[in-house]
Amino acid sequence: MTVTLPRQRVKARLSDAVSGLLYLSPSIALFGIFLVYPLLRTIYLSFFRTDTQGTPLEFVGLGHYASLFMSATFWQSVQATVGFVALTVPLTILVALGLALLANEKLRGIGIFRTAFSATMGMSVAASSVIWMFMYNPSIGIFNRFLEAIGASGVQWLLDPQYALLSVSLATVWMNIGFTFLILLGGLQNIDRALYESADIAGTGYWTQLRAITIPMLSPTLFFVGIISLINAFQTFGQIDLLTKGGPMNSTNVIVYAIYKDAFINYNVGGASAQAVLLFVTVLLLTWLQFKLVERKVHYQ
Amino acid sequence: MKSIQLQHIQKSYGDTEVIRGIDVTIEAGEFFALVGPSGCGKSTMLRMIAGLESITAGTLRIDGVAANELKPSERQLSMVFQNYALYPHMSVEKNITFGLHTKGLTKLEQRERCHEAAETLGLTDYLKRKPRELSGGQRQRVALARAIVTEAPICLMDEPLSNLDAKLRAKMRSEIRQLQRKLNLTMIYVTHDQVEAMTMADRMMLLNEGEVQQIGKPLDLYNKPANTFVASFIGSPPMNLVPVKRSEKGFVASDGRQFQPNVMTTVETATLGVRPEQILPANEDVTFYAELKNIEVLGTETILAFDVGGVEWLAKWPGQWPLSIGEKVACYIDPKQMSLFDADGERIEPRHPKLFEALEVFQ
Repeated sequence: MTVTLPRQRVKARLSDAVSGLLYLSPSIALFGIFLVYPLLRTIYLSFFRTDTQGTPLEFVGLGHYASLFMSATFWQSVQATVGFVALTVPLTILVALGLALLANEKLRGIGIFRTAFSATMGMSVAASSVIWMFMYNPSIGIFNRFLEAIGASGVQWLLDPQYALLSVSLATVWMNIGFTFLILLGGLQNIDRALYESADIAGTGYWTQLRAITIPMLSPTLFFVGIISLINAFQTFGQIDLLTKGGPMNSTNVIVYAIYKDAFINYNVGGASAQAVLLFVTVLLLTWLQFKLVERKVHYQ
Repeated sequence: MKSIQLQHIQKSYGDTEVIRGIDVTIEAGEFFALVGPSGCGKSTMLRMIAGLESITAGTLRIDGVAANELKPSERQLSMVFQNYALYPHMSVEKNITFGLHTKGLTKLEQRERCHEAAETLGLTDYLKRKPRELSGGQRQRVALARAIVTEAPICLMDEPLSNLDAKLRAKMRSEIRQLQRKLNLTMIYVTHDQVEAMTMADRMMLLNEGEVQQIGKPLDLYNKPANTFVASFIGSPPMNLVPVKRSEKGFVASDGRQFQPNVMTTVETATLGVRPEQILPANEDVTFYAELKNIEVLGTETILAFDVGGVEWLAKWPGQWPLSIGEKVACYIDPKQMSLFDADGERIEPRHPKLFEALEVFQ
């Protein structure tokens, strides 16, 4: 059965749709130009051999992907990325959670600590990288001075392939703590005080309360912070560029940095595009997996 | 069963005094209500007894033993919070048994006690559910079950019924009262609702701005309010009050209405108080005539509003009265039912006339 709408109602609906689109148009335009178009263009370019300007010359199908999977450098990048993510994400969340638990206590002057712990959020990656570069400096940096003071030999923090990824990861953890801390503290403060008071009367200790009340009540926040941190870690670029430039011996050449080098230094735009697509798919899959696996353990109120 | 003694308990936050020296003994097995307007310090009082707030000065004794420094869990009490404080991520059963392991109970004993408490409160079918899947009344019952499962001899309740609708509130009122009797609990019950306190309590304490106004049986507070604050807080509608001056025959309001309360006193100015249900339709003796400002017929009773000495008074007449606004009606008040308060608002106790004369001679 077809329903024929009176002409006036059709008109009204049409004008509703038009004005709705008009309201949306600024964000549609922004998303389209800076997100959707680059994404589609990247996927398109990953199937082509291009010149140095990125103009497609010849369709190569899955050729770029095939050569990536054969390339030792690519697998080294994957290894560095996985290592970087595995080092930074859990450590950032653990340290930030510890600080948030401390800063959530009602003590005099706690505001000073809350400000201090969240301060790294206000620092640019560039500025923090420079600070860490000085601290990692083999001759004047504080880490080596400390090692020398206790009689150990200094370490080439950013130049030794064994230590470089760890060093960059530590600096990254420090940079990310501010944001993660602030979100987790907000989550903690949203937990009803009466829950703890009731537990106090029941006689449960601090650690039981942490395990049985705080962590479950904080789980939506932890889940959110986990996803954001994971995506951020996969996309890290600034501190790599400033601290190690992917070296030494590609040990910190994480995938985003490899993409940058391939596209703008080696002018292999097609190959870089293929890597970007692979990164996109990986992050998408991991986030989807996280939602599937972890969300069941998250207690939304 | 445990008694609780408050000996000059005080609480201050910085320079602000919230509780100004409270002395009271709550007997073992007693249902004791703490009543007062919001911000009067009643919840703070309860939280100090629970050990959730520190006591600034004074001594709290539980069964004679000083308890100021005891942890909440060492005070042998349970508490029901205003918002119930249920753990949203735990099942009803887990909520009820949470913390029981600290009392050295095995898993089996915990389950037995949980089922017993659930049965008492009609929660047996809901043990596997989460709090969000329950109605307000059921959540309230879970909170009660959690309080009784510990078998603590003292139970504290902080406005436990304020989140329920009126019908459910009346039902839970009697349920809580029955539970307290059955388990022989020493109950301290905080509420801002004087009806709750009147209907449930063995004794009650009325607080205002951190100070005790009156402690006693609900009917004592109702019949013999210690001051004008108690008079205007207890009762619905509250006691009618009007400032009066001494005259030849007794006392006179600013509009010339005469009152002859059965109270012997020498004060020149006072406040006169009469309960709305004590203002009756006059048969022979007429205390005053009232010009009706408003009238509400409620089926079982009729509420009349009129001015006395510039203050709006309410009278509650039993039955349905077909009166109209502007009409003049004759009212009668039994002189014995008039309360008199001095210039500070304190009640002037009615004395026997003979005794009063004797005292006058002495002075």
